[in-house]
Amino acid sequence: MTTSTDHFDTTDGTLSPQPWMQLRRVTTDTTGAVFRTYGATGGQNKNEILQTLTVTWTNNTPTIQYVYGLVHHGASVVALQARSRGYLRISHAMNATLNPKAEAPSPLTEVSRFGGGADIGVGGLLGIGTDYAVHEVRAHSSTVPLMPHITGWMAVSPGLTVTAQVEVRFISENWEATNVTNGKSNTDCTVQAGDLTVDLFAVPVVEAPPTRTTPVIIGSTVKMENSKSVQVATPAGTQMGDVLLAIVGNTFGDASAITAPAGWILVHSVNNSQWDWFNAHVKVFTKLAGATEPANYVFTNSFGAEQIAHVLTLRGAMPPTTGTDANGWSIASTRRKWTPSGDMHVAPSMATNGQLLICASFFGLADNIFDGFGVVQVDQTPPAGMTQTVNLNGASASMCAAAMTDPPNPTQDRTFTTQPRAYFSGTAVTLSILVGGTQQFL
Amino acid sequence: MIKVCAAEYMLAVPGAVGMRRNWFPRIVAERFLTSTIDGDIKRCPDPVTMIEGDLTWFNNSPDDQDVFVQVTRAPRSVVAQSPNTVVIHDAWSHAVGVDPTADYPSVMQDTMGGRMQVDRPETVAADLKYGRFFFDFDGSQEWVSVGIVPSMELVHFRYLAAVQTPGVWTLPSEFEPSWEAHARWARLLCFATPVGSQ
Repeated sequence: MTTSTDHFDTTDGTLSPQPWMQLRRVTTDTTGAVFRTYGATGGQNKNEILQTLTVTWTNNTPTIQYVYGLVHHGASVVALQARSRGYLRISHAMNATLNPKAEAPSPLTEVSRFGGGADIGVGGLLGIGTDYAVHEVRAHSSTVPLMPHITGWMAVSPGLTVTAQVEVRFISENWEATNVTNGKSNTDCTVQAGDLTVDLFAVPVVEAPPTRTTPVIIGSTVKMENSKSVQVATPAGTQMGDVLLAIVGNTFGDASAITAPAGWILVHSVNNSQWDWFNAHVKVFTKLAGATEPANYVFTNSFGAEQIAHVLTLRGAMPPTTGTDANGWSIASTRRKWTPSGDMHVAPSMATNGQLLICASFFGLADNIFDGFGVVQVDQTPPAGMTQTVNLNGASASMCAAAMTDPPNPTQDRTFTTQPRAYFSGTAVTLSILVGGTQQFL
Repeated sequence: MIKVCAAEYMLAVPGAVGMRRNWFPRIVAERFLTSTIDGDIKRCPDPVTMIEGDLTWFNNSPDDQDVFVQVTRAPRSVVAQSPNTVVIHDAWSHAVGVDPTADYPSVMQDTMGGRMQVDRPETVAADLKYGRFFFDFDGSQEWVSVGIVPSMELVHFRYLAAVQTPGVWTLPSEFEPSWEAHARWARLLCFATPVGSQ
């Protein structure tokens, strides 16, 4: 009889299941309750970290393991003098990576709030203060899932380390600054964040991981601006839960000048931290669409550069996280120096399963100086078999992007062709972005 | 017929081998508890018990088990007249052994409720302003790690919910006050899983 030693232990002639072939708690850590007392009036709004807790577990088994977490939070108390309003905010983050010290999970996502406040109108001399009143609310302890906004369990390959992070802050929306009528006696401004525990559980993956949906491109927009920030419209039809993807490139100046609005995560950057003369910089940002999204987003640019920002709305995509196991996303790029031959614009192949492949080509100074005078615009043609989402030529920047659903594994080299043949003084960047679809359940 | 030599969490008989029931995550004990004093309350400077009960489970399997107790609470409500406070405490304790008795749970730091206090404690009854605090809190759950229950040992888990009116207590004389507390019910579910690698 033969048995899988990944699943069963047969040493000493005894058959027993391996201790990783089951649901089990793999790690736990805890931190104590925190109490804070503040002055009843005066001072500024509060935004203070009360607790942070980070737990890690390395998949030391030979099989892929699903990992999920439970977060226990002890009882909460928020007691505030009238007009001050505040709450405890609990945020979670989680990732799986080969190098947890270098790639800490981010960003922290708010998953819970508890607090309150009251206002009883004006009081005191000239009616500019407030009367005495204390509003106190208390909440029981509770256990909630780690990262409750993410579907499915994280599938963690052998050797990867899962890092889970929980942060508790006290944040006030308003802090009373005027005097309390008849003084501060018996006022109360107290906050309690109960003990915090994070447990991680693992379950072996004994069959093929569940399928993922194929993301759909709902819409896309593009904007090119010179020497100033780029204001690009939010694609029409964007709904809560969609994933917004922005490919932003410029051709000149300091790469760090390319920044995204608040709420966007940088998931890839090419030629960052460099000051260049007609060299392409490209950054890729993503954002999980909320209930309301602004009509447009502003990406900053460096002085003197021409910048193109291309935003796509994807539905049925997992929101990517930073780290190696980025919720099924993979992004790779090539950056090549000028060469007169036509093989510069090749989006690299990736040996990974993905549900939507987006390739983009960006370069600067398409100046055919040897063939004539002035700037000659170079047209790009997307790779064969892919659907173009943008093709925009400026005075000194050019971007072409295209997508295909359910790409093969490996994704294969995807070549953008240019016409007429371009002469560049800088570099060209070509990207492959493999989008992970949302996890389906068995 | 061959009888496979099997270790923990497995069963082997001549010609067949399989997993024992204790290999699978499962509910091994359950208790549903209801509140005995929901409704109007009076002053209770010391906690007064609303719900109490316990749960036991004997691990009669040949292997160790990792045990969690899920405490599920009903939505809870309090009403508190200013300047007074009404809170409901929650507490539990557990013990594992051949003949264990869990300590009586002490009610500390796990509360829901509160106050809307618009008068200082020194205000006399006739001068109290009218202020009333209504607070409803959603149902909630706790996963309590009991730890490993060895073969042929017992887990004893106690649960307690109690109402208390801590701090200042003044009875208004010019209007009708009201204090209420509703704890409704709690459910205890005991889950057992095999002990795995970490």
